[in-house]
Amino acid sequence: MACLNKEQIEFIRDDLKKRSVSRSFLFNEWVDHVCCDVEAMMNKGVPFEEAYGQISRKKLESDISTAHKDVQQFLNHRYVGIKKVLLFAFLLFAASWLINLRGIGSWMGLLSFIILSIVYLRISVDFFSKRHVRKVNTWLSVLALLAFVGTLSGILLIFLYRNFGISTRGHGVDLTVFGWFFFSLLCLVYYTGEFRSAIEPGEIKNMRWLGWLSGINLFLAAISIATFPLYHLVKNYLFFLILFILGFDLLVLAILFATRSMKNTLAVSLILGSFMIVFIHSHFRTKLPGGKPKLYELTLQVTTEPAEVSDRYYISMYYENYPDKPFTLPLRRSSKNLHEITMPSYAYRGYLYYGIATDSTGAEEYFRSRPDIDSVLLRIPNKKIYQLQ
Amino acid sequence: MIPRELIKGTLKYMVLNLLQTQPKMYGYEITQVLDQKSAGGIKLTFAALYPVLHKLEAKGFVRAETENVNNRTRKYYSLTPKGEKESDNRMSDFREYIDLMKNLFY
Repeated sequence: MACLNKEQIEFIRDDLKKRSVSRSFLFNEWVDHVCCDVEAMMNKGVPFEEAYGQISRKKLESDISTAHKDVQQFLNHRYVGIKKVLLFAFLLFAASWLINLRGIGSWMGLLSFIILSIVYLRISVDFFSKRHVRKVNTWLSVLALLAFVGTLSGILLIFLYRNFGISTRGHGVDLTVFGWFFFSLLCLVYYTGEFRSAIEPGEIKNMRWLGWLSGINLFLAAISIATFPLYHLVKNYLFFLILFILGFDLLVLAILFATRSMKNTLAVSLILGSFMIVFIHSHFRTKLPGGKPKLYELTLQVTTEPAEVSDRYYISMYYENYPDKPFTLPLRRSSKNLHEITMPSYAYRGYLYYGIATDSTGAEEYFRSRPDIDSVLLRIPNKKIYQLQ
Repeated sequence: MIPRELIKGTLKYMVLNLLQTQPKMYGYEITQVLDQKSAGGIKLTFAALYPVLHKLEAKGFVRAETENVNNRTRKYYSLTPKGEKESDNRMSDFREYIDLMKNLFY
């Protein structure tokens, strides 16, 4: 039985490498297939040169090219369903900032992020189910899972903080940005792999550009993470970083749309996710109707004994988390010995420190001089009326 | 000559069935065995066979292992337990389908 020697195999390999399809992930199998074909002809008595000459004259390239495209179409991560879901999430996100009827905006915003996280989870499951095909798929699955966990837990913390005043120590921001970082890393690894195995010039160019896009996103996410420990040093420059990221994302989205590249689900998920995550941390949101946190009504009541000491009292106070922002307001007499004030307040959980006096200056003085000032535990919006001593 | 559409639609059953009879096979070997068994009726090209093998691998029905044979890399495919189960189920469905076709046409 004829068997090709090392030189003959190298000759075939070198010759096939000259063809445009040498980058295909099927290349090694293709070489073996061609070698087997040549050996079969040699077994019939045809010399090597003639055997290979006959086989290489066949449409070998179209054979591997067709197989490559067929396999890739099945393996690549372009989901029409996901693209539609992502666009819906983005529209919901945009609507949540433009419309905020009865505080529904924040719930719509939360829903848009939940949808985005579910997309990340779906991608993670898909990579995991195809872990047999490429070893790297297991790692890509882990990265997508981390993006899912980061985005979902982060947005839930942000939502709880902004709507219910539950202190999250800013971890919501950290987690969402980490989610973005992991998804950028996933995209970089994925598109680099696709670039290495792409065989058509258009596809090579496309994968190279998507690889760069992922790399830039990874870099921007890494810079954003670096600003956490360096916040006090860089806080004056954060605006420019955010402006750059948002501008970059919008530009890329426009390019993806114009070049009909929206079918690249991972890239679209990355850019939409990046925009949504960065936007909720930007100051631009406060300019939009949905960006203003919902205001609740807070009523403080003061019972005075005896009732006729003074017609007017002043309350000087600050919230536990904002000791550097004290303020003084007059209390309105609502009955014989009851004074009260009703004011707008954002959701808040924590102590309100206060001092009461018959004039505003006195209240402030009283407030400043007393080391053990009175306080009341606020749970807004759960309870809105607080009885003070 | 058997129409290409018929071969394409049933190729994965052929591959699963063949892999049940052999512990492991490589792509070229599969084309040759099918060629012999069908007396030249089924001649598979690279473009027809490899996508099927890779799809079966992606679905976890076959596992692939690479070996160095005669100075070149060769990928062998073998059935996974999931693939064996799938093969049994599909072959039973397929036999039922053939019986149905026989009843319909003859």
